[in-house]
Amino acid sequence: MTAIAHETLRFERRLDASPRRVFAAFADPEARMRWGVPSPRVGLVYLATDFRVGGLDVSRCGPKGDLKFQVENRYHDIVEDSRIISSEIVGCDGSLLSVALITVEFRTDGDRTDLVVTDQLAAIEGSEMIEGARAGMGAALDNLVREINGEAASNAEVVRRSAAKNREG
Amino acid sequence: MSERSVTHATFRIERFYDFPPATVFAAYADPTSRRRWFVEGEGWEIESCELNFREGASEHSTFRFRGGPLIRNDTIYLDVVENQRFIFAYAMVIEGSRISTSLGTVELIPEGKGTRHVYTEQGAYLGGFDNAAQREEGCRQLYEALARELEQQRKAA
Repeated sequence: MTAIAHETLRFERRLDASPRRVFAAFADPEARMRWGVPSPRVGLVYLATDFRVGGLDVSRCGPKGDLKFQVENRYHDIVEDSRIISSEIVGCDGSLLSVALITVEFRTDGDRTDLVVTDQLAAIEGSEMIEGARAGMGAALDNLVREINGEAASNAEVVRRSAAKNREG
Repeated sequence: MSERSVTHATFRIERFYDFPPATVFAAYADPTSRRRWFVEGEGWEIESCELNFREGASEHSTFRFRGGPLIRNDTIYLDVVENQRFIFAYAMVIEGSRISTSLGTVELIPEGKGTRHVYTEQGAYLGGFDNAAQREEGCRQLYEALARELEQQRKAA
């Protein structure tokens, strides 16, 4: 009999954008395919997406050329710009590896967002899914920070340049 | 606590039943049996109840406790391995307001001629409507009701 290991992982990131902008990065599967891969060696494709309460996303991920993991993500609770709670089933070759309840909270702090992701995992022992989730989610959120904060910095640069140009003109 | 705040908690309840895993599993899978111990209970008024214990299936029920507010339970079974384990996600909603979303794992571990029933709940409890301690107490009562159900079945056999 295979036992199940339970663990709670918590990730916090601060983003230079409004909760509306950060929420959109989770709601849009195209955006998720961009920032959701932990490294350039990993691939992620969506077979189905349905971002609403009761909706189901199905994706495959894994090393590029061998997308061996099937991921089913069901949305249980969505509060626009504020909260997303979903359950995620990860399997490989028809065997279950882990099930997780994932809460994403978008907390506003002026023009910024404090993002808190809580991953409550039930992993088949020996599947190494707890360490996999810790590394994978952490790297994906780092990508999101780079994408959004990079965008904010480049917007600020455009504003600065245009202000300088106006002064010159 | 603000309406938006979420409290995350995990609790685990272990209980030994003097019945083999297949008998304990059947008390979940058989809708007549489960309705007796899981749904019915003194003071509970059942308004609707749809039991559907299989992987990928959903269950919905609505009920009140002693004329109180309408409570809804929406459950989906994410993984079911006969006589061994099952994992489900469920939401509790009171008068249209969600109070929690949880992941529940039940493991049925053979122990001698009986079963060690291990329930682990990993929950996201919302906005101060509910808390993990109350939920844990509610679950303990359910597993006592399961013990009585199994004893009743033995007497009836």
